[in-house]
Amino acid sequence: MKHKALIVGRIAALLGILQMLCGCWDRTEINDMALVTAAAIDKDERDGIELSLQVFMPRALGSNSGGSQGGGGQKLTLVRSSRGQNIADAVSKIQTKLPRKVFWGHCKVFVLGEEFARKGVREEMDFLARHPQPRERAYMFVSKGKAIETLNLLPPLERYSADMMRKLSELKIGLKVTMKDFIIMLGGDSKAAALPMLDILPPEEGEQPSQGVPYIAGTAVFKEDKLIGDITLQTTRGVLWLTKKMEKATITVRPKDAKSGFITINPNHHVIHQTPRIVNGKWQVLLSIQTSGDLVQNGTNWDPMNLDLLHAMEAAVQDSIKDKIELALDEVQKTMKADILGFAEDFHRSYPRQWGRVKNRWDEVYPTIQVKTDIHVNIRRPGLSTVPVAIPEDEVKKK
Amino acid sequence: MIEKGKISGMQMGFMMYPTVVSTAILMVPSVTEKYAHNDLWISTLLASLVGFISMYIAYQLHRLYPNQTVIQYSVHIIPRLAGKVLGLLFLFFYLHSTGAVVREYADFISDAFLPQTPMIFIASSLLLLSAFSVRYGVESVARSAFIFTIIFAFPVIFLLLLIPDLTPGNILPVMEHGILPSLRGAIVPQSWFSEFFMISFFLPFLSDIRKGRKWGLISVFAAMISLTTINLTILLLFGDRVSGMSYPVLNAFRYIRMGVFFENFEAIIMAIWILGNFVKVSVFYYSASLGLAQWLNLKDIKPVVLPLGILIIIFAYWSLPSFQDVTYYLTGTFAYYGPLMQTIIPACLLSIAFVRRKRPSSS
Amino acid sequence: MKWGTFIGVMVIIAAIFAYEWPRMKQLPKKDKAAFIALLSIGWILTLFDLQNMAGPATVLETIFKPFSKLLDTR
Repeated sequence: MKHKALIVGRIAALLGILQMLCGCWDRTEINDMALVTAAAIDKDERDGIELSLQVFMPRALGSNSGGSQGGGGQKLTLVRSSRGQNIADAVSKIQTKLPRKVFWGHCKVFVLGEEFARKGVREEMDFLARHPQPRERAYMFVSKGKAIETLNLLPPLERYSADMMRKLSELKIGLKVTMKDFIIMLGGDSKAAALPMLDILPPEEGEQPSQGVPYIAGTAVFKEDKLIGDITLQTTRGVLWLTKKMEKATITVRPKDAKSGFITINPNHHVIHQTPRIVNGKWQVLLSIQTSGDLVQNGTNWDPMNLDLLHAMEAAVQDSIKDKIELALDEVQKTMKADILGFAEDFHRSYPRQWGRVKNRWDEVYPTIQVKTDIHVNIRRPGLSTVPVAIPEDEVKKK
Repeated sequence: MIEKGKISGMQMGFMMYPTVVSTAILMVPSVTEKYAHNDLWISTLLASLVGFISMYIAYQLHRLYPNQTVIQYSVHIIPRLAGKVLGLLFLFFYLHSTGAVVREYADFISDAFLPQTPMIFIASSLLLLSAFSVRYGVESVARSAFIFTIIFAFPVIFLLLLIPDLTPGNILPVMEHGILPSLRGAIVPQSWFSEFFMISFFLPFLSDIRKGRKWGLISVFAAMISLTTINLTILLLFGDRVSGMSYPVLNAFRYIRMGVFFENFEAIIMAIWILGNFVKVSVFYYSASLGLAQWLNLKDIKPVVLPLGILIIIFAYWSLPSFQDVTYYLTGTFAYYGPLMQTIIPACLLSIAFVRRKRPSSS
Repeated sequence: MKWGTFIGVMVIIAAIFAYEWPRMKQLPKKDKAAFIALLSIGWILTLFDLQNMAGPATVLETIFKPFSKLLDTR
């Protein structure tokens, strides 16, 4: 008898414990969630913001696997937007238009509208850093015009526009900035930040307006937390050299003494050192760049196997890099006076005492900093052709 | 004797490591960064000194009074009544601390993972589990600690995946404002390190005391290295932003990404982290229960375990309505209360005991 | 006092009692007394609204307040 009671008791206890396994209160089924793939924040006409969410539609993915629809264009996402005082407010309003619970965990892209960014972003960044779901690794962009437009696009090559923007960022043609980086930049010594600037390539004639493609058009420059301007992709290359973030480059130049034609090299290995120095009370940054790569196109009649000509080619590339850097310094340091180059952090680290003295008037010191460059380009290989191709032998300049 | 089990020195070391590290990794990075800024890794190194001292004191007291815990020998070192009062203070301290630990754990889980679940269920389910482990005595606590600590230490390896995202420059300038900020930053973590005094409750059950000292040292050292590594990684990853985060470790683990597709690690890592917390709670819970049983001269530890569980839950909530209150308690009160009970008072006991040993004993 | 908490605590205490009491037969009276005393302390304390009540943590905070200047915690 007692034995039986024991068994019944144990089964009851087991059933009781099983109840706990489902995690009752926080149970969320995947088909109760609206997976946000990208979010866009715009300014509305009044004081508030307009938040737009690109939400993934799992059912569309299932029907697409039939294979009848060719390529892209099939809508995998839907976009919902709403106005509110801030993000949290707008989300709660979007929620009323969505049958599933908004879930930020997969949101890889945040696009800030130009207008909104000019007004200041700090207040809304707080939501992203405080809410437990958004990821610090999400990429941040600023869009020319309204940010919601980038979400509405149906890029032909990728599944949805958020995916496309993420991949653009990962290619590192422009800047690659995650939410973590952006928040650190905003709160850092230099009080300036930079985000990649998105623009939309208009659709070809005969295509629907949603067939446009987002691309990285340059860099948006923030001072404090407000957008103050943007620089072109060309200038951004200079910024990349200055901030040691350059990875892949294609440099096309016309050597000074060449009669006609351009040469192009693909430097793919860089050693960049950026050393802050204070010499006789003058603040300087020494930028030394050593880069090497292959010749990919030679439009001149020069023979790259000749060492003298090779060095002349290298010198031309060096000048080109130097020009880009000076362009960047001119715009960012002299004109905008925004320290997106991170000089403040560099000086703080190397000269903490001197930094402490100028900290409060960094805005005045920053534009006066001299940048000295020391660039070495090394063309390692000529590719598969030694001499210039398709030119009669006697026209090739060998000396 | 109440406890008949025996544990090995290695098991004791494996018990103490998560006892210090499991909750420290949550709070220590942001608290130390607040005061020490980018010297936060020096703070944990300095703080570990208190760990070594507390452990040494517990060990020396154990050599003078083998087979006794702090509750038992305090009656022998100072007058009986005073010793009993001191014992009660210790009991109260460990009971209250267990409550605080449970609360920290529950706050974190409900903040980051289960916001809808009532906190009381998060707290009491962990406590119930620990209660069963504690009921079966020191051997069951030690064995579960041995297995769980191995798994618990594993996520530190995952931090290596963050290396491509680190900015080594964040460490500069070292000691910009001298050593003072690092010392201030060390005040809070040293209270965690003072918890190494708890080996006093386990030394009497060691099968080989010499190994106990060796493994005690190893576990203080391991805790120092782990906390410093974590502090440093977080500094190199997040720079100045650390002190603005509630749980920087969580943010760091969330940032991990392997390849292009393998991310969102934190669910696994936090599941593992719960194991560490289980060890921590059961070590505290065991110490409190054993202490109470010894203080009342009971014959067995079992009758007090479950009722104490209720008291621990009570202490986890008593006058702590919010996370901010818990943080204030840990930084403003426990930072001094912990080392007072676990380092300074034991040091006094040790010096009195030494003096009494030198003189021909009168008792 | 909330009735939900009250009933919940009663159920838990009853469960602990039902689980532990039969296993304590061989133990001396002192052990049983300690068990019952602790349970009653717990039961009485849960009758109050503890979260918003001054308690040991408040006392300790007052004691250690002078030190908190070291870190300007409050």
